Amino acid sequence: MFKKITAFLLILLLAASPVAVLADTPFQGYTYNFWGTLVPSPAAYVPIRSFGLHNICPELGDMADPTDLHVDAENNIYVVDWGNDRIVIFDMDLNLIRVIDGYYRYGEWVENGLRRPHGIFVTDDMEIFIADEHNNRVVVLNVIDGDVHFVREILAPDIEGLEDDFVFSPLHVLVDRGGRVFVIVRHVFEGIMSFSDEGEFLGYFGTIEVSFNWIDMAWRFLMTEAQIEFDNAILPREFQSMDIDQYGFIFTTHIENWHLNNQVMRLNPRGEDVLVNFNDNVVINGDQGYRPTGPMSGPSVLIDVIARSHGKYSALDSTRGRVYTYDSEGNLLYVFGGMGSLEGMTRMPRAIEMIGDDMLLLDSLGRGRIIHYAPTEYGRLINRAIAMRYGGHERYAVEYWRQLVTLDENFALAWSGIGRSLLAAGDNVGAMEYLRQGMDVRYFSIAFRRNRLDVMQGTLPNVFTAGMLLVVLFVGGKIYYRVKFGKREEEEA
Amino acid sequence: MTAVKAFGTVKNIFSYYKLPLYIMVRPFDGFYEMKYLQQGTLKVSFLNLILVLVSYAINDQYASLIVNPQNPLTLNSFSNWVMIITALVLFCVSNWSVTSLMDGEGKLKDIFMAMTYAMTPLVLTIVPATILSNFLSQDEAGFYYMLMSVGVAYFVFLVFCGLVVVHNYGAGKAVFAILLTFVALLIIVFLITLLLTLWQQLFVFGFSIYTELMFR
Repeated sequence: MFKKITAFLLILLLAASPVAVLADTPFQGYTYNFWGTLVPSPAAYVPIRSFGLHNICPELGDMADPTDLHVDAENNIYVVDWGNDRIVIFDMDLNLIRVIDGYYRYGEWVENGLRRPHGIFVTDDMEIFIADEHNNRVVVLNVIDGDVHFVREILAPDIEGLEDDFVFSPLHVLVDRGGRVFVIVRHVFEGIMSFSDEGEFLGYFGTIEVSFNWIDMAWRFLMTEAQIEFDNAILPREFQSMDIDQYGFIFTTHIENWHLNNQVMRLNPRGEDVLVNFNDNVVINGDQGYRPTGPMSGPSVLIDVIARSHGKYSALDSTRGRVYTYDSEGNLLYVFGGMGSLEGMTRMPRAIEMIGDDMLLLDSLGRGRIIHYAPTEYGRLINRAIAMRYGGHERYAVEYWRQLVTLDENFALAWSGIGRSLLAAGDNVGAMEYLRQGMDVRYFSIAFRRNRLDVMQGTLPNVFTAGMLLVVLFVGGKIYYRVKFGKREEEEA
Repeated sequence: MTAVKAFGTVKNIFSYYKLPLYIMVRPFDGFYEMKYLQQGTLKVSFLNLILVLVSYAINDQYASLIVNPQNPLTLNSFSNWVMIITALVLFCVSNWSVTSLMDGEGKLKDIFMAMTYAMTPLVLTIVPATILSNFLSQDEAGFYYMLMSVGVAYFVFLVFCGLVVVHNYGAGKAVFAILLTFVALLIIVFLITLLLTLWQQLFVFGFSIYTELMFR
């Protein structure tokens, strides 16, 4: 009894102690279980600081509607300051490196060379691709001896099928290893425009399929001709954002009008969606449940996506300011961030970018700022475990899964992770138990099949031996009887 | 043991249960015997219904994780039973109300009996399928689903036969009657919802008068 009371008091003391990290976090982490219901979890990432351009250098002033964020191979951070027609480059310690607002073109300085730049991409050769929205071009710049030089530009393609009043307004730009340039252009529904490295139009890439909707069809059936004309044409959605992973596959997001479709796509070099999701009840579109009306209501709108290490990817929801991180199997690993005016919360999130294992989030409201999230112990363990699993080292991942289970008992992935490692180690019965806990039906089935084989191999010989014995006894008995009483039968016959 | 008492002896249960099994092989003759030769009894009807409910609960509880990823927190056999019984009663009532306007010969009792006698395939497939599921992996789960859907399809077929015989319809008229039955079903559900809403309005009205009087 006394033990129980002390234990209870200890728990109270622990709960009241200020060391808890979660208490300082302005949001609650969560994930979804097998059935698609929300399960609270510890925060995987916490905001550690937020800064604006004035923190880097007071003369820079504020951002005006910044639209994009990029981190290059040397860990320099690029902020696309849309409203101020400039790109600001700085490093992780907030040292200003460069401001791009003009460039040398054939030896001549072009002042204010950018007009409303919207997106940016920096190749491994440090060529800077900028989607220069109001100049209607993608401009390629190069830095030589600290001076920014014009390399080339990609202008509107001269192709059939575009409307007469079409304006080439590039929003996002991306370059793959082969030098192909991908451009998301405003009001182009056919897909992402792709160009060769010389700027020649190659074709559309990764068209979004139009989903058929019974309710819309029924409405259209009831509408008059004039109403149909007034109504929006059923067009594919526009792409919101894109990022390229280490294998050259392109992650994209778009707004979906059907809640069971993924908002994220992973396009292979042929432009086909190869995103993997093994979950039946969790769709890759952010929140599975939401308020229908009121503030911060409606489905998630994923406006940015980034490819991360080991097959992970994160997507940013502009409705609720949250960042969803999925692994290569489509499991939702963790969710963090949120809307609000507390320190570390966002109000108008625009873009996310990874720098090492930390995440930067661009908040465009007001003066504009960047929020720096760092992984907690919990998040770090998940990242490591996923890295091990992705590399095929389930045996080494189990150590992290076991720690995760002690941190968060409700984290199904950890249970199934332990189960998978047991399966790899050959303990099928134990694996079945853990995989059931983690609701990992696919791997449960594998463990079950192996266990079934073991059981059958163990018991079937005995069963068959017993059967043989019975048959021998039966036949032997018959022969015995026939020998003993055979004569009488013959006499009777 | 009460079930046994209702039937007299254990042997009697089997003799009573012969007709449902006969219906499975010779549906038209069987349903004819059930209705016109007064061979059918409500006892067997209810026994069949209870067997279905029990096997449904067994399936919910014991089918393997692979075919039945149930959340143990939301598993509720009772609410499933309520749903099945409600659906059955609604279908019977709406079928009765439609067919009595369409020269159907069946009484409500006959329709109910036809429905429940037709449930024998479900009784015979659900439990074996549940047992089978515990020996199947994900690739082989098709066998489980096949067995289950064969049971359901045969049930639907028997219901159709039963309604044809009980109402003395031709096949086309029976199909038409079943379609109308679903319309009637929707109307009944709509009326029930309407009634509940009205009752609630009435209650709120009375309650506000009561509170007004209390505050005077």
